[in-house]
Amino acid sequence: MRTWRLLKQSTTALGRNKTRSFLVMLGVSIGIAALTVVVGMAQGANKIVMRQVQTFGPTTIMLFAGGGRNEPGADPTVVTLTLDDAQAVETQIPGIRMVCVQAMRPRVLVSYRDQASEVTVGGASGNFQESWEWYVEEGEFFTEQDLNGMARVAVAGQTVASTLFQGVSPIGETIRINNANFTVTGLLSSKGSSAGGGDMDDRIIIPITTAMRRTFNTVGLTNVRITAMKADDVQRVANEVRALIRERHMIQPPELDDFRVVTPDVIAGLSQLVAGTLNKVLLAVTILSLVVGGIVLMNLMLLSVTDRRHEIGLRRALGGRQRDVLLQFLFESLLLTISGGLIGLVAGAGAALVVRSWSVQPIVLSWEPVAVALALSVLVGLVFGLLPARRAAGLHPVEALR
Amino acid sequence: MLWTHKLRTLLSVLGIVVGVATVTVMAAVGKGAEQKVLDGIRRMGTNLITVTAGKVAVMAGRERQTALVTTLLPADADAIQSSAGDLVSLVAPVQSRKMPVKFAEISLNTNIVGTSPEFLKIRHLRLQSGDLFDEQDNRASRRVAVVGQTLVHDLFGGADPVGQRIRVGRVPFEVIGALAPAGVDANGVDQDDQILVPLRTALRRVFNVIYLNNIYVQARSEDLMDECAARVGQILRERHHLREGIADDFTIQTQAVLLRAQRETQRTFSSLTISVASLSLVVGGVGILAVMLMSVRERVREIGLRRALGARRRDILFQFLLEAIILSVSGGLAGAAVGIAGVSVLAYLASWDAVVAPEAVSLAVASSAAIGLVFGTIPARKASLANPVSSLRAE
Repeated sequence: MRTWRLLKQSTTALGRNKTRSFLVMLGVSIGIAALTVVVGMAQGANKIVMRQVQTFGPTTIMLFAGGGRNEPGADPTVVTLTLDDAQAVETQIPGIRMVCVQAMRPRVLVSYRDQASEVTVGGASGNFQESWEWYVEEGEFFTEQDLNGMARVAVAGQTVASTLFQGVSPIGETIRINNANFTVTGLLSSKGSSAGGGDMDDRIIIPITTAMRRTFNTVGLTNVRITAMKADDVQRVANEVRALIRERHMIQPPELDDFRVVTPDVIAGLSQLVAGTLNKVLLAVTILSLVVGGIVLMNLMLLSVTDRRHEIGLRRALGGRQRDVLLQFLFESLLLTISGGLIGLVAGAGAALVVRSWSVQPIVLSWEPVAVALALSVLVGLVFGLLPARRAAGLHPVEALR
Repeated sequence: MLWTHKLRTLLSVLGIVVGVATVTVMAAVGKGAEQKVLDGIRRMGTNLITVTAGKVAVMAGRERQTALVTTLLPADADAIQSSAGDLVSLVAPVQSRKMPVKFAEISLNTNIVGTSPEFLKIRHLRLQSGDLFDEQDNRASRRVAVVGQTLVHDLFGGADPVGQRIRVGRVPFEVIGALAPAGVDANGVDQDDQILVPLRTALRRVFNVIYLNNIYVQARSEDLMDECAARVGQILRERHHLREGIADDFTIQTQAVLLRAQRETQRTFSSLTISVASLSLVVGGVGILAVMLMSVRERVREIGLRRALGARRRDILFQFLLEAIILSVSGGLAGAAVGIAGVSVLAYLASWDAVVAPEAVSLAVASSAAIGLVFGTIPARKASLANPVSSLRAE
């Protein structure tokens, strides 16, 4: 009964002074809504930028055949790195997301009608696109079925497409690689040059099975691209790959390796830098929004209570006890901040969804900062709503009435 | 008048200070992060343009020239530097080839890169120990070499190679420096498997040729890439006497993947900074608005009293306008000062690269002043228009 009366009294008091209540609620809800959207935006940006850095491959380890005395890679006489090695790496070393094998040959004669060109041809496993972050732009990549059936299908790079096909869409056309007919099923997106100026787009990718059994007739792989699960795990995986291959190839330490494992040091550094920076931004943005919201709310509560010293004095003069007054103010603050917070939450989530669907700015909604903000706004509302009320209630009624 | 209500004045100013300071700090944090991340990506070589004689393919983590073209000369690199100086910041001529290298009993094949000292800057490579060769070494065709990490491991067993003597082909060289590890790049190319030597030494003493296979060009900025590539192509066509209709005897390329990533990152960051700053502006603005509205409402009685005692409407309006101006302007300036100080503290203590954005600061000051003025004066005007008796009766 008492609680009910208190509630009723609080709501009447709040209702009587609509502007004041409205302003306090507006302050709370705008604060919470803004925090929801701002933190969501910062997280969305975080995601996009990290995705971009991921395409550089901070988690990829390259395992090249050859090394030491042998010329690493692309030497047809090096057949030491095999499919079994790649499989052993994938199954025996933990923390690996995927393994993409390649067998490549430089300057393979490729022709289309009366056009001919010397192109790098690589046989690759089916996960080439994900592993190299290099996707077909037009047409399709070869399928599991093509791999199993050693199909004569090929995916062409942009330079090949422009030199051989000269503007014609290569999809569905038949080219000759080492005098065997291949059907072009896809066109790779452009990668541009490597840091050393090599043209990455001047190549053709065919199924690894076709390459090893039919086109190059070899058992040796040229390189294996190993993607680790976590960026900070790359060095461990690389070391274990080295140890495993050494063991499999029976190499004793003073002897030189017949393979080479290279990690993406510079890229890993970049990825760490970017992740660190973005986390700091996220933290700063969250804390700042909390502080601003808190201060704004504190202002409003202080003002709205000092506004009511007169009322407090009157209540006390009419026989209201100190705790009655305090309880009423407690209730009022709770009502205002909680309802304001909830409105802000809904408004913020709504705004976030609208922004997400209307613009390119990505938004990731998460509940932790919003929960902290809600708790903080209730706390601030209570402290700065009750303190001045207590002071006013502690005064002599006559004093307060003046 | 402002002094008699210290708490109210303080709160109004505080609202404005906090609003402006937040916008300043938020914008600075966003901008600082943007610069840091973009710098990181830039160090991967977004503004690198590669000129190749004929064409070069990438095979198993190495670049290989696919056909022998002998028309690209060191003088072409000089010409690019001198006649495209407005677009180009650095130029490095390169002749590289795979050669056997011998140290003690170990012999292996690696990339011998003859180039100028600018190569290191353009490719963003760093020295781990020792020194790089200089222009003097180049002019005198000295046999000095800087080796990559792969060789430090395979040839020297991980020991510091500086001061050691190696043979490149049959020519003895002294190792004067070692490169810091760079690893594989975004295209899976091993950047540690190389030995750098002065260009003239490489051309005259090792390869015995006069032509280059690459020229690295660093554009002044990413926005100038297309213009720069076009100009370089034009210069080379002219110097190589290629008439219209004859195909280029060189290839000009950029690192498409990096450029794409950089563009995307830039776009993401600038929209993030703008939206975060404008949202905090809105929050701060609402705070100022609420405080101003409340503090004026509180003084309706005072306004009534003044009117009853004979003050004219314009006197009251003028008084409130003046108060609002003092509050907003001092609050706004204090906010800017607090924000800038906060940014410097962040930069100093946490070594954050926060960068003050003057546009954001001035926008925040201006808009908070405007909000303070409008919402401080409008209710006062309303009160001054009302009958003094009813104002006096207001609670």
